[in-house]
Amino acid sequence: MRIVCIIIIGVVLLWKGYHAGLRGWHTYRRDRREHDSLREYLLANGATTRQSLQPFLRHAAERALWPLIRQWRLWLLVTLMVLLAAVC
Amino acid sequence: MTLELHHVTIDPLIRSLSLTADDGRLVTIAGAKGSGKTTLLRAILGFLPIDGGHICIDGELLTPLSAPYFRRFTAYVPQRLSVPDDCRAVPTGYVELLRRAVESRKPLLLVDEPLEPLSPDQAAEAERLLRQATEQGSTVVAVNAGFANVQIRLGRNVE
Repeated sequence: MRIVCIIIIGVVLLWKGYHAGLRGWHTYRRDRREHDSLREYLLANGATTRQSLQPFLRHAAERALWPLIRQWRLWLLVTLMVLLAAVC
Repeated sequence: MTLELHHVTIDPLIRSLSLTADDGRLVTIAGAKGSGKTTLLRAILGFLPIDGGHICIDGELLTPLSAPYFRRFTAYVPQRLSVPDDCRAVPTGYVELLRRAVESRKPLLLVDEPLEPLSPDQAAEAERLLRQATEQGSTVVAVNAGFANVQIRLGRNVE
């Protein structure tokens, strides 16, 4: 029973993580397509390739993780309750 | 910082363009839309390969490998800057970008013209900032600036 619960939680978390990654990837690609002038501006003003991508990566990470962070408390609660139920 | 272009050719827009710009000088690139003004700036930044001739900065040849090094000493003002919704690290207004570039006190300043016309106040401020950059000793290459030490008209004569 405990293992089943852990597997279910793991699958749900993987599913959420997959969607978060997908959301981040889409945000990154859209930003690169629509705002590539920012990357060029940063490069032209002396930024390294890595620094020039930082705003895009940060934005993608925010878009990907923010919904998860908002839901985190709820998921933590659910996880704890399921684990407690499994232990008992 | 000395910028030298020797017989630079970028097909099909620019043919055998030569110029030298020293510290405290402002070179204006004039020309009609599509004549290669922005293309030339992008070539100086090392974003575009040139088809002929060469570009030197302080006597050093600009190559794809050396371009990132030279860009550390360059401030660039693009025609327009688009940033993601909640990215507030960089201003997007043309005059703000120009002010930021001038205040960076980098030795080479490349200034493209704004995509949309500036108001008289903004144009005056832009000209003041360009003058300030030359007074600081920067080498300035600007597109369609209000004043210039040297003017390059693309598609026609040089100087």
